[in-house]
Amino acid sequence: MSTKAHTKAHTVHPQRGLRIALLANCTIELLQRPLANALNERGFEADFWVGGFGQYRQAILDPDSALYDFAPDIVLLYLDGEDLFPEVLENPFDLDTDRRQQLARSRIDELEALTTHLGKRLPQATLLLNTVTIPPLNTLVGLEYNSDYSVRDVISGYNTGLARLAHRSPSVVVVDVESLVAWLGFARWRDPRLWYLARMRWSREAIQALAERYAATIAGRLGQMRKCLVLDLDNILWGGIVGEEGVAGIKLGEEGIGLAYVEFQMELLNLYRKGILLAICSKNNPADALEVLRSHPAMRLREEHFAAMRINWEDKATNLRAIAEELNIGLDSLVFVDDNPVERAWVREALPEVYVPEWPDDPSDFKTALLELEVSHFHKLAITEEDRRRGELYRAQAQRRKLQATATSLEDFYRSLEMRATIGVADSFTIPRIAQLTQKTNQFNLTTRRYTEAEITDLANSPESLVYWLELTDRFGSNGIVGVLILRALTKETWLVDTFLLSCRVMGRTVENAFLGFACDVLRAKGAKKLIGEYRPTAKNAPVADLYPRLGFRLVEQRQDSQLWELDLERQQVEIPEWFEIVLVSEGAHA
Amino acid sequence: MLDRRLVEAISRALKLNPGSITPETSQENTEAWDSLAHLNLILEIEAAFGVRFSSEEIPLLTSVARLQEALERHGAL
Repeated sequence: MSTKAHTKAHTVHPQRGLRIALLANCTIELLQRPLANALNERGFEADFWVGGFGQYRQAILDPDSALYDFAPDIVLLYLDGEDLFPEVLENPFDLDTDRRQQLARSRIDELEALTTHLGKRLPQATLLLNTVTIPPLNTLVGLEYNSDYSVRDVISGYNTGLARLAHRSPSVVVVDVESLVAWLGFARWRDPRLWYLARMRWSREAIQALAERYAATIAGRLGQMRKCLVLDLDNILWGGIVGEEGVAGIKLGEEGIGLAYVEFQMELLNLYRKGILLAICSKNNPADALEVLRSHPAMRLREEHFAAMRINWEDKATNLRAIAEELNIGLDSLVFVDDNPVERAWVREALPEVYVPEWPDDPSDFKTALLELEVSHFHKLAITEEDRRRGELYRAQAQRRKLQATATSLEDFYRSLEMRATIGVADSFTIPRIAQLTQKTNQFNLTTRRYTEAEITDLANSPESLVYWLELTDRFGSNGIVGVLILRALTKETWLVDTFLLSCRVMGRTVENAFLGFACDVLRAKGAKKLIGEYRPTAKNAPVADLYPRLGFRLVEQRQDSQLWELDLERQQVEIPEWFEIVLVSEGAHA
Repeated sequence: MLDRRLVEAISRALKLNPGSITPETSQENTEAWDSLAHLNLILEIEAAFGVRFSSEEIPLLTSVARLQEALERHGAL
């Protein structure tokens, strides 16, 4: 197993190491450099291993294969439709429906066998597979759909089979190359010269597009995504300047170009539903802007959809900083969309961490620009319950801040929140969220160990480790699963806190005392005498640098890249604050 | 005289120091210029100059001098 990705993460520089094996049934070498560049832009430093031409079966099945020496984090297996189904295009008149279905099935069966084999040897690796396509201009044009001859059904049978395979194997991620080809256009996708000269199935443009798509998928899989889209208002959410033209004068509605803004907003609403936060950063009179948000009949987005709003005359960099602070996320989690090139340039200059895409002048192009942004920077491969409720969660957070402002003391505030921590052991319902939290939590994360679902499953099943999740509920509702604690037995009496993390949205609410206090009670009941806490500093987790000393742990070892702290379970105690109600649920009982 | 943009494209594609590139630089005497690097180089030059070489030409354009001639032939220089 490769450990490079874990040890290199966020230490000296923010680049995260990654080992990628490239396998294919056609020439794949030219993908390497563009993919390395695209990954680099997303914070990854990739090492590559390239399998021999068409040797992917041997590479996976041979127990002594160099693939396994390389120990990749990602196995990218590109299979081209024309290479997978040569018989279909060579003589489609020889194939009846049964034979065609059987062809698709046999390729999927073979792929499933390879997946299983790979899963046994590289349980932690992600396997990237792809949907396929065949040249849309082929001999069956006219006959396809009008006769018994078809090549479409082989392709759709195979692609559907891939979806089922991915559903069965959590290590498999399907990259929808079929839709990428359709978007780009097949004629631009292929360069027949490169096929005949080098057995390559892509044009230069296709290589670039494919590298971007794979990099976005890998970043999405590993949780390296942006979290919040910050939007300007005038000439972004509607046409015209509300301060000058008035609410009735702006372009927004079913008429003419007003529809472009409506459809853009509809897609923004989908982003919100996928768990991406939306925020506003606009130079405007707050009263004018709020009037549109609250009362314009064609608005699809309302105040409730925005996790933060900065509508004032201050400079945008200051406002973006304030938004990041309010939401308790890093500047590198923000994407900022503005129609004004001067503002864009200023934000890029002042806040290089914020991603500021170029933006089209014509509102007709807004929706497409947004969809491209979703692919490149908000690439989601799954939607968790937390994602679905994220917008709501952040709104409740704003109410909590108001309460905090009125509370007379911090303790009063904690008491008034009526907090309940529900704690359980990892099970099939909670493992995806646990893995997601280990992948993307940066600030309150003592060791920043990134785990896949497969790795969490292994830890949960091992008698030597305990994996707990914590869900926090308060008077404003549930915050969802916001904490993970992984304990490993070093000896019968000494346990190590392998992972301790909390989502940034519940930081500063003493949840850490409650969670660790609970863990101490559990371990003591198991006969443990010592608990070792590890702190591995990164560029982002300074907020928890003093956590262990604050909870009474004693420094026992200072290593180059970590510190070990010890708590004597026989004499010391981490107090569970009295304002917490702790509920322990048994396995499989998670609501 | 070698075209500056051509030298830049070659330097980018083959990761060579621009100062070391002469008309005599060729696939024969340059280790980094293997067959896949050759295709990458051709694609890079096509994009930089907006030309398209034929599948018959591509395998023959294996030196800087030949590349420059081909670009002249295609009216790109």
